[in-house]
Amino acid sequence: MSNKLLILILIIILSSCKKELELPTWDVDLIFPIANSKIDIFDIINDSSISIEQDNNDLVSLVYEKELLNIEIDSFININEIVGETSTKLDSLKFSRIVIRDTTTMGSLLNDLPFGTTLFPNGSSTTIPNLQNIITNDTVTIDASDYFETMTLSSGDLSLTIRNDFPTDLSNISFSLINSINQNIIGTFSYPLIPSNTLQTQTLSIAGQTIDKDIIAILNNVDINESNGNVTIDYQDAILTKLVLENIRIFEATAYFPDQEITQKLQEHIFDLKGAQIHEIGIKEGSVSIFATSTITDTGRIVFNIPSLTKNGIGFTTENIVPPTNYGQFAQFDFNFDNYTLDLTGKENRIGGDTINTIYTELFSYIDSTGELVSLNQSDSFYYYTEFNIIPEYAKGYLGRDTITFGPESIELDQFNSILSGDIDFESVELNVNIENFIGADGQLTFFTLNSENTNNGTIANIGIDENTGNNILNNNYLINQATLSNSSLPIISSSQSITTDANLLLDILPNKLNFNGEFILNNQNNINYNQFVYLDKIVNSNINIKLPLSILADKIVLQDTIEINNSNDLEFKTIFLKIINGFPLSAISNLISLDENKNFIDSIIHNFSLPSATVEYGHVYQNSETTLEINNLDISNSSYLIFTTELSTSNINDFVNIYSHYNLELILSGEIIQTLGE
Amino acid sequence: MKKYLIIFIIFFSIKNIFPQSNLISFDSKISIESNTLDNNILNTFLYGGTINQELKDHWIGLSRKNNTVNGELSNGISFSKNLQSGNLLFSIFDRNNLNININKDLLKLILNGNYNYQGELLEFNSSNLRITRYQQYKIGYNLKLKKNQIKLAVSYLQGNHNINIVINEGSLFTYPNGESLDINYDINSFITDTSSYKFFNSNGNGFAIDFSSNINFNKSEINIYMNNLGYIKWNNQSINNSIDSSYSFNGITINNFNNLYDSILDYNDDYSLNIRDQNINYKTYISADIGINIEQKVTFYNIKKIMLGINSKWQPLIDDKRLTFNKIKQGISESNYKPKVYISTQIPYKDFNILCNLNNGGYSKKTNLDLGIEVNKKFTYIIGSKSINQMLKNNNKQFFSLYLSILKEI
Repeated sequence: MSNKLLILILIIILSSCKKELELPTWDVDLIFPIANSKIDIFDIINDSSISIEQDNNDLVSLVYEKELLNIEIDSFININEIVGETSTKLDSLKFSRIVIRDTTTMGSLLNDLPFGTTLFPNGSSTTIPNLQNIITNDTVTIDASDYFETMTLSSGDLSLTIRNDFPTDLSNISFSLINSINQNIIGTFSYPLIPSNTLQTQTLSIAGQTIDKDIIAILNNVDINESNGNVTIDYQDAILTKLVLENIRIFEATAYFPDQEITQKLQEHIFDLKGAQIHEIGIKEGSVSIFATSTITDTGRIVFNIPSLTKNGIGFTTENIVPPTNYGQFAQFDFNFDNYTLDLTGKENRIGGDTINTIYTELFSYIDSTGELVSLNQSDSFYYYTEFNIIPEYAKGYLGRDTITFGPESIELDQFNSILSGDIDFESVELNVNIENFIGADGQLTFFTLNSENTNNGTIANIGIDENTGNNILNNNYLINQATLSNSSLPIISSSQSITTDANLLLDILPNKLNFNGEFILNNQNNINYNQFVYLDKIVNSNINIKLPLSILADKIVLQDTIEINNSNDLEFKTIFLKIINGFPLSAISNLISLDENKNFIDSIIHNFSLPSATVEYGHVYQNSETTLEINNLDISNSSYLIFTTELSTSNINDFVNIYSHYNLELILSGEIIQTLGE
Repeated sequence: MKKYLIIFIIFFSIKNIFPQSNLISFDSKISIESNTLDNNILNTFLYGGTINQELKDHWIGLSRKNNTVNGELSNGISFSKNLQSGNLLFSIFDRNNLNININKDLLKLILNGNYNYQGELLEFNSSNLRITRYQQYKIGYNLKLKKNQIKLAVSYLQGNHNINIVINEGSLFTYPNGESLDINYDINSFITDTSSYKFFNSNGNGFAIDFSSNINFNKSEINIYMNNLGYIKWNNQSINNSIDSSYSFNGITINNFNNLYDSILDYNDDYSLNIRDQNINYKTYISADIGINIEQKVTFYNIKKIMLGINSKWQPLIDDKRLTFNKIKQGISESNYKPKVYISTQIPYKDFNILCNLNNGGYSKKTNLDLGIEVNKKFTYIIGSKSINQMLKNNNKQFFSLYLSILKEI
């Protein structure tokens, strides 16, 4: 029974309700620092175009510097021209001299004569009788295929020399040359008498004739005259025939052309440098391209020399093969001339002496025989030209007179953009226009316009008097002296010119633009001086420099800044505390409003929060002011923009206050949040 | 609670195991006591709900400089075999201990945050938390020497889980408007292997000793004892985290308004928590009882004897000193237990005995009436509470305790 009771109790316990364990929740009120910062003038001035200087007393000056002018004069010195266009026809093509020889001995003649060798044995001494027509219509084929297939000559001389080594005279010699293909007579020679042991030559012109490689030479007739008494019969005695074809110029030919120079062009070319008279250019980047095309089916070759173009004292030369081209396309040969020196005085030892802007080149063109049979005619030709592209590193000589205008231009000034209203006065503002001339030539700089402009209210303030000269800056011609070289080489010793003026009035209008225009005249006095120079990476530097010591009077200067915010923060602050320890002699009344993404007003977060100035005595801050701003229930979850507006005034609106480098503004931001624990 | 009742019922269904003239008992005990916090707080922490400002103010109002909570849940069986010269003792107990001491300033910070304490230094020194679960296997012998007795016992301790967090030093000073926080802390924590939370995981073992001496003088009996003096050494899967630093927190220092991100990066470098963590084996002590009592035979109505005694506990937080007098002092002060002075007696009434113990001290550091009822039937049942006065309160109970023993002579 007791066991049953126990089991029953067990079942009841197992099935009884049990309260689940859970963690409690509670809110805790936390306060903690969020951020802190110490801002001095170096942090406030956040503009890369403004640098900060401080003097021995730590007084801060803001220095604004910007490039004013950028003068370019390399446009007239750049060389980008095509020169030396040459076309060479092959009517000037030469062909080498052709010589064909033949020998007829006495022995061979006597062999052909009936009983000749019997009647006139070799070595015998006998009287040779009159033998008429001893040779008639003796034909020999001359094979000139080693030289040509066919040739039509515009000019050429055919000469026949017959040497009589027989012991008796020869007479009534008649000789003909005939083309074997068309049987045209090329030439006929006639010698009435050739005494023993003498030679005779006859020459005739074969201009306009076409000659084939196979020529038939016909010895029409030779008479042997009776000898004068007994003579020794020597079978080795001979009649020597020499046929020479020379001074050949062709109309067309299919032949084995020899290597030969086609043309040579030695010339000077003058570059147009727009009034500059330059005798030397150092090349920074340069190239020359030779374009050649040839119609001949044999290989051409060009040799191009530019003695004017040297590197380490060595002139430029190149030799290139011009392959046969089809359809007139050009073969291009490019040459890099970086770091070369270009002498523009023309050919060395030229008549009349050195000149300027002149380059001297030599071009030779050749046919390189390939050893193949080639067909050419007089219309075949070489055509080529040369293209120069040179960017100079420097130029020496007379640079010419050039007027370079600059502007109207404007420099945007955004330093005062945040200032909406109010009066600010600077105790002093110094403006300098610095000009540094790296050109080895005099110049003249004139400003026609130099002013500051506030486009919001349309006010313009012109620059005033040059403190160095006492003259008005505008329309005043400033002579800029030439730079010089150290021992005629780098480095350049520049010359400087400075224009100084008080720019207080320029800045008083809180400008957002600086406008200027003017002109720079190179070689304004037009004195030709060949010792001038220009290095194109350093020409004329000019900048505007505004030095503003922070000794100011500010009366309700209203600054505004818009901050775009990203609301990814999950923390909701019940209260925000901002403690400000102000070490600047400026007081501020500030407002902060929030806007939505469409820039519609949501809430005024800070309203007329007053930050007192630090206490100033004898021109220096001797006690900082402390203020704490408390913002309750700050909710910027729907805000996309915050607009911060502050009205600044100096601690004393009658005396200038100085801003020193050690002044700072300390900000301590902390916040209170209610955080729920246990969730 | 339901689980332990089930175990008790199942155990009691087992038929007699042991032979006669011996004693077997089942003991179960649960107690939660505090010197300041009451059952409202405990219920809120156990069963959820919102702690509102009224409750917070109530707790802070109740709190003292050091606020102790001690919880104990133990169940076990014991067996005592009578021998000619004494008793042989065996017992197996499952023990769960929770001991917390929270500095009042820490309590204020946890409940309220620091907003209300600007310009005030909050100190959290001596705050600590100990949670231990282990099984104790004890064997002992009670030697009878004429009228006196000497008891010696040794225990094997199998540790399951332990968390030990000690704030050696801690303080927070909040400047007005939260401009800056001065933070100082030196916290050491130990926790056993967290890869498994099974109840009977073996993450460490140790041993403990018991010693007591019972001396009879005519009608008086003096008992000096030292029980459960021991430690558990936890294995090297345990994790020790220690953090200590002292700095002023001023928020992000913005050096460059153009690039706030750089400032945030600097912030991350400036304020490192300096956490060192390592796997180590470490040692903790179990709560030892050290005391002395005198039992005097009396004739006063039905009261036959009265006992006067003092009990102290010894349990250092960290094993960082050799056993010296300083270590003994350390153990007593770090036990969070005020030596308990008590007077107790048994009052027979009809079929049962009323067991009374009036005491002052302990973890509650208050006067409590320990009242139990002993009923002798087939089994001897003892049921009671260590603080019946608190248990009978309608509200604001600072001591909850129940114990149950079932004994049987076999």
